[in-house]
Amino acid sequence: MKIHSNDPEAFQGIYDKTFHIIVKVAYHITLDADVAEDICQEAFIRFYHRTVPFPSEDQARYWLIRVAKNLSFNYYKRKKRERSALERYSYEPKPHQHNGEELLMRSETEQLVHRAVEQLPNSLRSVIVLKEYGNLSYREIGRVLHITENNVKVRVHRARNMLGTLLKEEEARVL
Amino acid sequence: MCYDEQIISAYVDGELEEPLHTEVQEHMESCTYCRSTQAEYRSVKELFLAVSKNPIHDTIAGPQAKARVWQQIQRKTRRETAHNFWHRQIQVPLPLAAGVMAAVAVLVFTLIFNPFSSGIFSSDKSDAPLALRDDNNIPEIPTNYPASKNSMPELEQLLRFLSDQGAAVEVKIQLPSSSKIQISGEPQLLRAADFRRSGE
Amino acid sequence: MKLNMVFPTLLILLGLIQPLFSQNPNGASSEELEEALRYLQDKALEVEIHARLIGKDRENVWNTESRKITVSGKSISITLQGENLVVSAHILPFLNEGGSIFLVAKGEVWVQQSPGQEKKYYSTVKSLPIKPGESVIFFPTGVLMDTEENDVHTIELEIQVEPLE
Repeated sequence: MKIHSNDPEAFQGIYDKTFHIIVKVAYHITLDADVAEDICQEAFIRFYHRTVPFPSEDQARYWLIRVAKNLSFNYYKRKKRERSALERYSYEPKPHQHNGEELLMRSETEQLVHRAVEQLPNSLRSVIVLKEYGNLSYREIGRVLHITENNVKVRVHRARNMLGTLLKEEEARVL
Repeated sequence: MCYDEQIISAYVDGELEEPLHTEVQEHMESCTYCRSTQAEYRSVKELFLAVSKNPIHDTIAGPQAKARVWQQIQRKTRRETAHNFWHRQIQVPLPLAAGVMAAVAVLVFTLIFNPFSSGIFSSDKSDAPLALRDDNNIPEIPTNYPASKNSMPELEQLLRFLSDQGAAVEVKIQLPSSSKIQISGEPQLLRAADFRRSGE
Repeated sequence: MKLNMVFPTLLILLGLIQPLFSQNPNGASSEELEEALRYLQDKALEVEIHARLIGKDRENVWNTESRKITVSGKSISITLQGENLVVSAHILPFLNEGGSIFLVAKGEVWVQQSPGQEKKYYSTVKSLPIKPGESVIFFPTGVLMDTEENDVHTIELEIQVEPLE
């Protein structure tokens, strides 16, 4: 079944099925709910503008997730650059610019995990976010990132090892 | 015999196929070392699970957010479709016969110039020669434009001269060597919006 | 940025036409040259072309973009050279009185499916009225079809034409 992004029914169908994963992936990379919504919007609008139809619904989903992941990393990179530029020119390091309410709602565990995941290299961060928050299988992650299933397995393993160490360090810092 | 950490990591994700999955499972019962590796990976997984359970995530991916984003998408895409006024599409389907191609090309160009009787291009007649090259029978797109009586002779000459030079710009691109190009059916020229709407 | 591109282009064009004016026994007057320049500016068009290779996964396997200036009625040729084929797309825009644009696209394909086989040639001309800035897509080798083969790609040329400011 071919998916045409401009077919309203198909478009709504994909949106219904894929919204939650897109927004979650975007959120866990950018760590900002408003930005996650913007990215979600952008991904679906780009999907709408795509001129070549998808051969299947799954392909459409993988494409959307990939776009959202890339947009999220771009945003994150930009923010990091801005932050370090600010830090360079001010006397005190600026805190992560978050929605205040969000910060309050986040548990300590969450902050701990986020800080650890942030320190992973992007290639490992992508797989772990897609695995743990997106609940995608290795095969699906491979399709999204255009890597082999085996590569996904290797990366997840490496990510877990690194996280093990990072989390212990973070815990020690907090306590 | 203990299993590689990678296998244990995949086991924890339920990504092992049979019979390996059962083998590892059975091994875990008797091996403390592998069990502790498994426990480490499980605890990391559980942290993520705990994070996901935080109520804020219900809001982030919740129905209100979903509706909100949907509305924005509708708004932005609706504005764009309203801009497409043109629905006609002039296609010139051409068999490979060079003669027919030439005749149709002339037709296309006289159609083009019809509305422009006041401009420099007149529709009276095309004195454009349609050169058919011997090799491959490739017809030329006529590039000589008939003169109009009203315009200034210098400008008219200018245009003729420029046209005579052939293509204004040439771009040469080398495709990646591994690319295998599919030649499927009739070449198409479509508006991006129309292509989406027309489907296949 | 556009202004920077216009001036050298027009200078080059003027350089091309100067010999023409010198054929006039009275020599080219500055008014005539100015008039020519203004006329060229009115007819000048900026063509933006994104050439893409689209893979089976609808993935953008490769892409390149190009921005060229031409005048109404003068074509831009893009030649894509592959291992066993050459694709030439000739984009010919016409600027209408009202400001709308008529686009003619000619596609030529020379292909040798496998070494030893004869070379095949395909050609077609398509045309379309478009609005300034509107995106059109030219598929000189056709639109990608579902196929059993892996690693097949199709060529897509996304084109926008706008009058030069």
